[in-house]
Amino acid sequence: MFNLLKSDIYRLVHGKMLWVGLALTVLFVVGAAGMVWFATTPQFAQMVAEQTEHGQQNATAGAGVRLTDESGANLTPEEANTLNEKELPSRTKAYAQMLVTGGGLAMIVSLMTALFVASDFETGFAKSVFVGRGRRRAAYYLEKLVLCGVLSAVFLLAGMVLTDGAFALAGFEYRASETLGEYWGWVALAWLAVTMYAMATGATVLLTRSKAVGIVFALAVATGTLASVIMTATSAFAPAFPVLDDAVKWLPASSVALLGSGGVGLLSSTEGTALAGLAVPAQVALVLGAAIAVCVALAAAVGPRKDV
Amino acid sequence: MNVVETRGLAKSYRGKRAVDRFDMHVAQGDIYGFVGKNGAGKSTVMKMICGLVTPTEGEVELFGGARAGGAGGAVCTGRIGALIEAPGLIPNLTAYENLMAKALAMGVVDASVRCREALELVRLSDTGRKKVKGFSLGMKQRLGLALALIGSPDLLLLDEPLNGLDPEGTRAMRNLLVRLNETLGITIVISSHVLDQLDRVATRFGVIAHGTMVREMTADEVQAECGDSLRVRTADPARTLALLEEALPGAAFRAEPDGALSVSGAVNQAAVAQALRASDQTVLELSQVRRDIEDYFVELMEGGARVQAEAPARGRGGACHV
Repeated sequence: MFNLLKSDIYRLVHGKMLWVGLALTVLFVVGAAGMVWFATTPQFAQMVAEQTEHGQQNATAGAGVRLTDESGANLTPEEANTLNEKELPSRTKAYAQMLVTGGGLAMIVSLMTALFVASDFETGFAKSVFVGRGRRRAAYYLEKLVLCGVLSAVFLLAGMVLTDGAFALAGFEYRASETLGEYWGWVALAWLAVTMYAMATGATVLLTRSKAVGIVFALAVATGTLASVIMTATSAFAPAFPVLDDAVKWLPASSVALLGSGGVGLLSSTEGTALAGLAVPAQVALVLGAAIAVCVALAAAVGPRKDV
Repeated sequence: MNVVETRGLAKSYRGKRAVDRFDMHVAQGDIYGFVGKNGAGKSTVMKMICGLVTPTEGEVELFGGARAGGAGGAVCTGRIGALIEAPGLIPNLTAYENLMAKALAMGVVDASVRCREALELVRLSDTGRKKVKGFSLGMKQRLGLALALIGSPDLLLLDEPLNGLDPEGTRAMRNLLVRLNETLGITIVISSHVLDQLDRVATRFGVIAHGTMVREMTADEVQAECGDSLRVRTADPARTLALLEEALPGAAFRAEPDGALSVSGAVNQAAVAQALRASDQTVLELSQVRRDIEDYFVELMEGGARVQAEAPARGRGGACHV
């Protein structure tokens, strides 16, 4: 398996795909950081002030732009002014919002996984690896999933460094500092989240051997589009079937959403968890770990049985 | 020792048999010409031999030991090199990088050195930084062969390696295969439609039709069966046939549509002429004809099951009537 991993990394480093993926990550992070930086400029402050004033004047008519917090409540002018401060809640909160909760990083890694794994079957490279192995090909399938983990780690670390760099260049500071445990605990769970999406995409391509299916899967699942559809549907039926509300909390997407608050207090937090007493890290690790285990089991059990 | 031996091999796709009761014997050191029409089952057989496809029935014995078939499948990683359908080239990499990717995947020791040797062998060492997507078909075929050679295999399975090559490329590939066989002792199974090229390299042939092995024979047997025959045309063909059958019991006869007789087997022109003169026949034509090997194989492939049934009755090196 290690040899196969070395070969894949060699191909990625000498090919274009990895570098295009990293370039996209740079664009994505710089673009997002640029938008955050723009929110701190005097021009934006003026826009906010005007819009807030305009919004209050038109509130009775229901017109105007509303500035709201995460719970949807209107911001006061003082709160709106804090948007113009070059201060971020915490490092991991910044990572979460830039890379994880929007699904941007998971989408880039999943798309890369879909294209790379599918290319093995398109070019016939998989065939040349399988020659002489008979049906003992499980190592190949498992290695591809390990590669998903490696890619996720590389892209997450690159995204973190880029986020740090971009905000440092823009002069941002962090309001709260995390302990090493909080920081790396959050990073480990974020890695698990990105890996889960990449592995699910990888397993889909390994089983279908279709690039198109892989791309559609990456776009629909890793971006959270499918989860949004499911959540909307379950919220519509939840009044009649309350169990759906609890079931939704066990979706991988719900676990990924829990990472949005960053690493501060993460290890002791129980907010939004499905089971009383289960801390956020435990639930996230449990749900994402189970999803990864399903991907591994499917790829290892079904993949080697398929003819090439 | 047989490097490849298949027994009762069968493969069904959605209930339809692509290969059926297929028996094949490739001895060590053979260059085995695997002949068959499109869709006859050549690629499926080669895929079953190298473990890419699991047989529905039967078994494959490799190197006199490991067995493929059923659930387990053969494990002969590194001992088999294959070029079947897509050669597994990565278009955005150079020739050397393509070889390195395969060598690293196989855990080849001194991968860099082995890859450079393989490039040298197929004469692609001067391609430098050129990406494979810019290669000609011939270069891609040679690189495909180099990929198959990574890991120093004892058996090479090549599916249509001469397809699309120009005459010079065909000759270069042919010479390379012979060199690999003679200098490195690699057993080679080649399927090809280019029968006259195959005829120049193969030491043994197997003919497949409708998924079944029609016949296996050595190159010498093929030469003997495609050897010279005599064309005899007289004023009275029916009487000539009766006279010659009596005078030349070791020969085989075939009536041509224009009334001429084709005489093959252990006869020579002088014996036939003498028999005709002795019976006072008016000879209109007596000439020597060499049979085309392509016609011979086409007849074998088209003859299919009928030829297979007749094959055991034929003597080695005897005349072949299909």
